[in-house]
Amino acid sequence: MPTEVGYALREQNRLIVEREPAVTAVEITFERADDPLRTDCYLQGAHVPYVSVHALKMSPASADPPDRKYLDAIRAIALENDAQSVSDHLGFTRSGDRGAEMGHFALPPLTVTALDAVRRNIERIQNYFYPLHFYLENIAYLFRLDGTMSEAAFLRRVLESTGCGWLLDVTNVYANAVNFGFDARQFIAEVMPAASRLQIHLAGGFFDQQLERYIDSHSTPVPQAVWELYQEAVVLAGNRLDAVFIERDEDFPAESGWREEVRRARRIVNQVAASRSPNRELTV
Amino acid sequence: MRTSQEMSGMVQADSPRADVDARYRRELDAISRMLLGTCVTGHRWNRASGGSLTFEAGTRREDVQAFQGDTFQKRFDKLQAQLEFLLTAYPDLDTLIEEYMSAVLPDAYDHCVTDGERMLRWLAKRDDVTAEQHDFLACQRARHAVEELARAERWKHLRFQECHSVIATALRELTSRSSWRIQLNPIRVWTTFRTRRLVGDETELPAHLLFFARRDLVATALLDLEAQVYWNELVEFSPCTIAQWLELSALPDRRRLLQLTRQLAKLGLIALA
Repeated sequence: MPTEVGYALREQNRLIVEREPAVTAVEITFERADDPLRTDCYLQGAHVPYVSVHALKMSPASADPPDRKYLDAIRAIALENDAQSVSDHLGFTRSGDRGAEMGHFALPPLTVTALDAVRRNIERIQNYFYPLHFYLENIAYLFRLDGTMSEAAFLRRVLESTGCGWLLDVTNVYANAVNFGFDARQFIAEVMPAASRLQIHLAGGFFDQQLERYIDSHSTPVPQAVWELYQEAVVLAGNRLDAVFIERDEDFPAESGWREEVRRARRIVNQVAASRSPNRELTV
Repeated sequence: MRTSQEMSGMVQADSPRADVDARYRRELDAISRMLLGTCVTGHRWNRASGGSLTFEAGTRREDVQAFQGDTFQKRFDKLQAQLEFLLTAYPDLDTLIEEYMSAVLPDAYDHCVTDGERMLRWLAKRDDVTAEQHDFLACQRARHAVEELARAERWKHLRFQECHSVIATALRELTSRSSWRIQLNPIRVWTTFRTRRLVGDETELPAHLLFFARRDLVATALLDLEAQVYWNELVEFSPCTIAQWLELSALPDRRRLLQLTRQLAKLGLIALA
């Protein structure tokens, strides 16, 4: 299957999605599409070969499984828009069924107990959404809870034991590497062998001088360092890479900006694929 | 005698894995509440432990506060956008949102409508609600109720709107074809206003309004007495054909009934199939 490339769908890039030949995939953010009064499908008839529904509150690291009604609503959006996959984040937005909802995910404590909870929840999620594929995204965080293993080891064990896909957010890896002083390349290389299939997220943030942290704000173009990481990740992923999505939520670019980034993302995928071709002439 | 649920609870409590899960749940709950609550009270960040769960060594207070601030701001922005309509009746809305947020934590799976709806209930319980404020709250709550009903009855909503999309054609044949089946819009909610602030000077009080889904939007109808009688008949007889309804109706003027049918259809309250 070829790697599809596109955007996380926003009102600001709808026209580009329909007109730009480089766009062959879109990611629908469930919380944006979840309008109970909506009478047409969220894609509004746009023809895109690959569609994924991205959720924010399945909370796989919670102690309890996701609520059936929430899953039903995600599946309805997926079916209405002919989606091939569903994704959410490695984190918790609540403790459990009756807990308080934070509205945003935090990294769970990286312990065996949390690992067990994540595994069980992902198995339930995968069973529920089958035959749609489920991908788990690594998140950007500003703090970590005390744990007994590294994030890479935790993620690797989750992917190995559940067989779910990895939604590799390259910018999140970059942000965490900057903020917590680890090697982003090593992180990706360590987790990659455990991923049966992949999607990739790309976005741009900024370095908050006051906080002294890189913030994954989805408000700037994808930075050069992230493009470089991305290229390496595409090489490592090989033919397991199903789709690439560029995310932008603030300070939206002009049409040329949208087009430029998606074309660059596609160009890299194509170049890497071409370099793997058996007919490729060797250059010394 | 125990219910099966209680029995199952006992079995779980005896299991070592259930103990571990319960402890994990308590730990996450403590930290979730801390992460939600501290930005309001501003002084509890170091009480992260919900048992054994703590921040990693070297965690900076400002990083945790940045997470809290972001989470707080997102919830605040959503409530502010959702309840903007109340600003006329509540000029201090921002302060009230902050007060509400510190008093009420969002529930699991809370989304924009449910959190906003809970804030409306919270506002309605206050001692100093004026009649005008009551109407603003009732109006917003009716909108939420329409949305929630559409969520629960999504397929009925879609079926009705699809049927209504050809209403212009159906109305052209209204007088010549009495086999049309009258469908009532299933996504509808009644509410009552105590003042004329939102309904105009001529309106009789209390005013009974019908809120309903019209394609992707929430629409409102203020039915006069005659239309209300007609509507009540339709609710009683529905689903029925035009011919059946004309036969059952206690209202004498057939021409007027067809005229009312036309008006309600144009509003989006009935469809003909």
